[in-house]
Amino acid sequence: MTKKEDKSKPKELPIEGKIVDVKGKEIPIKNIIKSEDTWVKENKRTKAQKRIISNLGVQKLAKAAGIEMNYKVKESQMTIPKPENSFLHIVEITIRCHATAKAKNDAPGCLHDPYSTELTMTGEADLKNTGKGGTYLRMMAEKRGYDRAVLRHLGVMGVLSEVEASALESDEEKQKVDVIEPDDLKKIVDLVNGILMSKTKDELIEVGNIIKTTKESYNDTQIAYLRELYKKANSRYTETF
Amino acid sequence: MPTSENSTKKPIQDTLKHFSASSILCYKECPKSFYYKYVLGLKLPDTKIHLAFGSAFHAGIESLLKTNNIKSALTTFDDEFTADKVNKEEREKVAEMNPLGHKMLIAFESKVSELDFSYGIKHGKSEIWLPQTILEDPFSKEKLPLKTVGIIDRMTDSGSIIELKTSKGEWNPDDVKFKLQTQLYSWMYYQNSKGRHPEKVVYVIVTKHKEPRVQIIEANCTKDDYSKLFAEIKAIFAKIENNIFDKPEGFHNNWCDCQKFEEALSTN
Repeated sequence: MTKKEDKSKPKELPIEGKIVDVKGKEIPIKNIIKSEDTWVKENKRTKAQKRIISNLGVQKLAKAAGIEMNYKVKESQMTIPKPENSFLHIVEITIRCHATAKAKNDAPGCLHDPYSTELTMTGEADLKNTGKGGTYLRMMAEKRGYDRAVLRHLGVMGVLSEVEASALESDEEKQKVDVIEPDDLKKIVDLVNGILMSKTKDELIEVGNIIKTTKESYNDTQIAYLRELYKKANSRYTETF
Repeated sequence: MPTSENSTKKPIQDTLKHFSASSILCYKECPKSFYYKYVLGLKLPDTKIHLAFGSAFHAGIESLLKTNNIKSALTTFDDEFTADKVNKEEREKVAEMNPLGHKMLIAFESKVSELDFSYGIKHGKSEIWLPQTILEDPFSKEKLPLKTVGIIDRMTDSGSIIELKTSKGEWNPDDVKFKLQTQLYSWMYYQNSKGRHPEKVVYVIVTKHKEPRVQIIEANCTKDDYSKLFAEIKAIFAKIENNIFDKPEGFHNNWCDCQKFEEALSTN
């Protein structure tokens, strides 16, 4: 995924939500971060949109909310990055919030969380859930943990941090093939093979007829998938200019 | 598709009915490709030219050993290696590769008497399915949970296993003993013959050079080899049971079948 491509997409999704700043005042997020700090990512299959916020954007939110820029990092004692786990790096990030001035009833927490000024979240990164950041896995894990912790602490919902967008991207890559669940695919494998192996239009039509006569046996996803695959195979025989 | 260790563990028998040298090799090379081919049961639409070539070459040799007549072998090869049997993109290469097939058969013919003298290649049967076998570790007697299937290129009456291969280059003789196929067939033979090893396991490799060479390599396996292979196969089964079908880490050939399966399955 490249940021450039995503930023060129129409930004139909508004930057919604508010946070409580260090003085206890509710501020719309769009007043703190600029549009350049976010972009919209659309799931190619479901067309669902997600607002992606950059790490810089998260830092701006943190600063406005009174979250200390310095944070604690603890390395995972259980997981050692190695080829077998795709060099999985896991770190625990603990952020500390200083927005305590107006905390009610001397509660131990802050303006965002009445019970605690600290929040610990895990950040993880490996070769499979990172895009171009695959060479900076340790740093990616730290950024993810930090972004998650800040967004969770401030209760910002419906956005993903920038570094997690690459994980979303890799999910989508999978979906290109996995538009159908393996169990669903397994039940129609003969028909799929029939479509894939057909060498002439007549052979393909024959498979199409079988699908038509047996379609009651399959669910909507299976039928939709077979229809799409058939359409793709049929395009091989459709003349064009 | 399942790719993580978090997926529910499933007994191997729910996924596979049996296994072979090719399926195990496929898993070792690319678990994802294995998943598409052996778990989902998908087929690829195109036949690669090299597979069609190899299969026609085998047919030619079979004809040669039966009739002792090179002309008949060449005709069989021509009948088998035709453009309609390969994918569209490679059809033009069929005519180019045909003379090579002829040269390779002629090179093989020049070695038939030697192969007959040493192993009795003329006296035997081709394309022999070994009896489906539940293999067991020769020492612990622990059994594998699935039957093994295997087809041998030629089994001689004297009890030698002969495998015919076409290859771009010569093989390293030291590697043959460690080839999974060699060990598996030898182990199956050993178990079905109640503890008798095959007389010889012989690889006859005919190179695809302008002037093809014929390489003959012998291998013999021991109970230690079978025991090591037992452990290796058991480990692969454990991974399959845990739904581990990820692409191999690091470098992965872009001509791997897993990519072809994905392209074929994609509706885009």
